[in-house]
Amino acid sequence: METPTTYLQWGFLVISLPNLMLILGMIVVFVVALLAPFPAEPDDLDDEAAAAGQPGRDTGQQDRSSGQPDRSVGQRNG
Amino acid sequence: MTGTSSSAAWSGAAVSRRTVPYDLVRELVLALIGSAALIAILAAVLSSPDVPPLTIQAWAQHDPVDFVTTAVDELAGQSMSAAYGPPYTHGDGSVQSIGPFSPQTWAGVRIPVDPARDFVLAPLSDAAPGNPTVGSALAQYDAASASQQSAWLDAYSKALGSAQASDGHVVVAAGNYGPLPQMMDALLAIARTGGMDGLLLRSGRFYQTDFTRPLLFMGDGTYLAGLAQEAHLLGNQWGMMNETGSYPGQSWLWLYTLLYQIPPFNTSASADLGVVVTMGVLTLLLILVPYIPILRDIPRWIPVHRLIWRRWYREYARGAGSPRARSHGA
Amino acid sequence: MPAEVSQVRPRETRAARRRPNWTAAVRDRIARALPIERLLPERQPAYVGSWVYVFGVVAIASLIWVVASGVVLSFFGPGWWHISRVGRFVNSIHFWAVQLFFVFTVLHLWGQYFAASWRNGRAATWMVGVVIFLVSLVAAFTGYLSQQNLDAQWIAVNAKDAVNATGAGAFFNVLDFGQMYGVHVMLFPALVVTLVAVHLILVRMRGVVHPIDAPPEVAEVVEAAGEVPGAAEPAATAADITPAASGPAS
Repeated sequence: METPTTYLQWGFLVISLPNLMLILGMIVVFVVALLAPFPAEPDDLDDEAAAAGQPGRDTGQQDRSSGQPDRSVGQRNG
Repeated sequence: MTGTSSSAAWSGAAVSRRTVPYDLVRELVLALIGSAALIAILAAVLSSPDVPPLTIQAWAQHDPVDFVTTAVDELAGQSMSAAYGPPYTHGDGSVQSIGPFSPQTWAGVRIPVDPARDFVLAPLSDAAPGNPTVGSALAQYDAASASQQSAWLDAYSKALGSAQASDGHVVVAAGNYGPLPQMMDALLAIARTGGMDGLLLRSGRFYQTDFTRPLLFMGDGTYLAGLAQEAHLLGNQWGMMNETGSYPGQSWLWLYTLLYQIPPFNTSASADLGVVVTMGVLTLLLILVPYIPILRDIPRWIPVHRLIWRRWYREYARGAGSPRARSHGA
Repeated sequence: MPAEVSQVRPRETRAARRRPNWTAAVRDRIARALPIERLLPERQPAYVGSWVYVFGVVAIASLIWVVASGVVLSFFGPGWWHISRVGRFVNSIHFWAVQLFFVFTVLHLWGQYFAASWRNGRAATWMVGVVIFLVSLVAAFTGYLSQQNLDAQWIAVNAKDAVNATGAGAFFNVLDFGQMYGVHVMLFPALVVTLVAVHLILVRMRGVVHPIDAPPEVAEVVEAAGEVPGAAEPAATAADITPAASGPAS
């Protein structure tokens, strides 16, 4: 690791092999994270809810049933 | 909790508000264990970069001609440091500006450096008591007129262009250099013993941690820059994101480094200021993304979010058709 | 105060005359803003189910290792790791933990950008996140300057011009090892850790942003809590901001 590494060049773009590997690795990790299935935890409430004819537990944080549809990513920021 | 969700009059609403078990603390603990394992393996197998620092002693031993040339430049006021300007000197050689905007000058000379005195004359004075040759050479130099000093420095600088190193000395063609050859020979001898490394750090106080003087002096030579070039660390080599050896560097500086390679920055005398201002503006844009149309809308146009939340979109669609259909129909 | 009034409602009057208790006010304000159940919830909205959500946690885990290895390095002094095998290993931990921290911080930034996670009252969370990244850059920079090797020497010599050009060089001397080492082991870790704590508190206060194009009932009630600068929505009603309505998911 103490020996000088290889540098790759395309026009004015220059990058060392370790830096390139790191950045490519990041892109791979990002894509894998997007595509890989995320393990779901077993939900005891699902069973209760199914027994009661409900699809699961509601969250109090999400207790809004009125308001405008979320049409824009940026409109209601802040 | 409200009654509307439990009524489940519309199953899509229930799906949209459903929660699932999630263990944040367990996730953090697993992340700690996983990252520790990865870091420990990388550290054990690959170690970390550590090319020893350059000393003035090593510089003087390996490239005495460059050392003496740099010292003569300092004495003549021709070095980069001598002409630098704020915060070190009163010159303007390295002062950057965009039009009238020149923040470098605002605080003035806050870290005063006098290259001729600090890098050459003071170290020689310190050596003079034990060395009569140095004492008389310094006395001759001090007694000479400014124009005489310049003439000697000019001639000696030119002669150094074809100087040879021989047995720890720098040999130049015969000429009228006044006391300069004796002074520089003494300075080189001090440096080769390691004395200069200490003398340039001397502050009059016992403890010190400020390496401004030795680093400025070394930066004025070409030897340190040559080592940096071999390691691909120069600015025009994208050096800011590189590391010595075969290690990844500060790859997060890729954009900052890239700007130095392209017009107008790659030819500008005020490249640093231009790049810093540009990066400042880009950074402000990144901070303010939530408020900037187009920038905040791009994630909507590039449907990466469809992958992040694909399970939810699928469940939701099963529960109530598409989310959009639901929002329009509500 | 007339005697008959105090005889009629003695308790209420005493309560009204009591000096307001700032401690209780602060405690109640904190409890309303971030109840413990919301700080450490055991359930998340159903849309929270992607490896993309793990990036931030791994970045924090890496930061913990950066700080832990940094504490060991600072305890033995800046010269130790150059002459000791154990020191070199601890430095290597520090080095790779920093690399991992930046890798996962940037991945987290990518993920949150594509999720447009500043929506619905979360712009402050985004902005603090970007500031953490910036402060981390300077923290890493001062770390590279503190290495006491060729790399540190060259970075100092090369970077001084950019720092001087901004005017900061007059006060932030990259050639002064003592100053750079001091800010690296004290100021910047404290800044980064504090900002990360603020970031986490904001994340927990607002909850995880809902999917783009989700129907309005998915958006959490906090968006209407009147704390949202620039919100296009009308101001919240009193009912919207009661603790019950904005309470934890339980």
